[in-house]
Amino acid sequence: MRVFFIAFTFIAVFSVYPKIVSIYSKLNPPAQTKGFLVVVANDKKAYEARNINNSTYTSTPTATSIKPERRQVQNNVESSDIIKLSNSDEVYNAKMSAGNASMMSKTSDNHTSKQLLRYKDGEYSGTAVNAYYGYVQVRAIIRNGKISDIKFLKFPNNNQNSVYLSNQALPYLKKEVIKAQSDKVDVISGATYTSMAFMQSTKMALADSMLRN
Amino acid sequence: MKETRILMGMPITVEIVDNIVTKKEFGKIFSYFEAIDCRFSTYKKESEISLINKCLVKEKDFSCEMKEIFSLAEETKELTFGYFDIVTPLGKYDPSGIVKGWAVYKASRILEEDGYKNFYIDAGGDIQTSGKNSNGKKWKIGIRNPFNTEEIVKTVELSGEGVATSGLYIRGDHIYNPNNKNYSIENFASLTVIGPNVYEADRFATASFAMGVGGIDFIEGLKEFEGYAINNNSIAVFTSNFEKYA
Repeated sequence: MRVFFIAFTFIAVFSVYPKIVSIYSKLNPPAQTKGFLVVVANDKKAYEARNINNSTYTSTPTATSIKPERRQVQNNVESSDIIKLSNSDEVYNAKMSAGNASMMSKTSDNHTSKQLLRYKDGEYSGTAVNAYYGYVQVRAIIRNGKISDIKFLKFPNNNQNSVYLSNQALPYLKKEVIKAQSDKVDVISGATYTSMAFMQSTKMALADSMLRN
Repeated sequence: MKETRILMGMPITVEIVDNIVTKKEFGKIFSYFEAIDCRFSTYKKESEISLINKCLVKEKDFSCEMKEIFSLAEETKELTFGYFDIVTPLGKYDPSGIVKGWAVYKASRILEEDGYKNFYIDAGGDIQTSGKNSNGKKWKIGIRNPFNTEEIVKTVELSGEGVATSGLYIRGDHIYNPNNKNYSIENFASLTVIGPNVYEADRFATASFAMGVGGIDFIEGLKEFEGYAINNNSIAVFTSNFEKYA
């Protein structure tokens, strides 16, 4: 399992390496405060990488480590620029991807969308991210403004929690854009009243991101 | 035969397609939900849970049902690394996150014991299916668009499984992160879980929703469970075997 994960991840990362497109946000904090994180994304082909600020938070391998990391992203939205490595050269903004343990920056699409900038040379370690089947932590090495190597510092292995999980639990999630269906159904499952709360929350988030800019 | 009543603050619908169905059976099922509500409603001042929260009932005097719920809640808390917790930020017990699915499942067992094979019970979107619908086909369940409640964005066909959807509710975020009760979670707009029965689907939907966008990974790792999550950009992310129900 462990060997498989490493091999699989390295093959996938390097197979998309020539197609990596980097994006930098307007604000670019000092290099030593930046982290770089790669997590398994939604399907076998796609991988996602993003910069995160890990200057004040040192993660510990507990089920709760994802929360401080998430707060970091929210407090440093300007620095949480995100790129997506995929086989189709597409650059997604943060919110386009989901289904992995990483958190998405609410405001990243405000300033990262079409701006192509270079990375600053150096080595950047990402925060360990709890993917529930284990932790993923990487170090990215940037040379001449490009990602020259990505090393895994942590990867899923056995832990006591995994007894509850199936042993083949790599997240090969799928995704699609939701569309209205015309099928006749017997009964509906849904989060009643979600929409208004969501719209309210989105409005607040957008207002907040505009103030930050 | 189909009947809907508003109980426990939500519409509860029971449809039974077996020929032997009687009007009386519906009364029996709805009475059961009423009894559950009387015991577990945190909105009712005299309910057992309210008395427990006022420290007027000692643990040894809990009813069997209350003991069962507390025990199941404890087990669920462990299975979900603390993401499922019936203790609220104010230190009170609120078992509503587990009672609904559990009650629907129990009600379905009552129907089974009474000889019914083809039915569903839906309590506010938590659904237990059994057998086939009136056309002799699997029950067809629609997943509601969280941004347009008039719309269905996915259908699944179930026969015997349970399904539950978690999301943010307008009456307040009743799902919070028990590992950090003061911190709100960036999250999916809705997360639908299909499990072996509605009790299992409901408790894991609630817990995995509280995990934020990592929750779908959690469902991916669970045997016998599939999930369909819709994010804030109307992109659905779903587990690798979800489509076997589509």
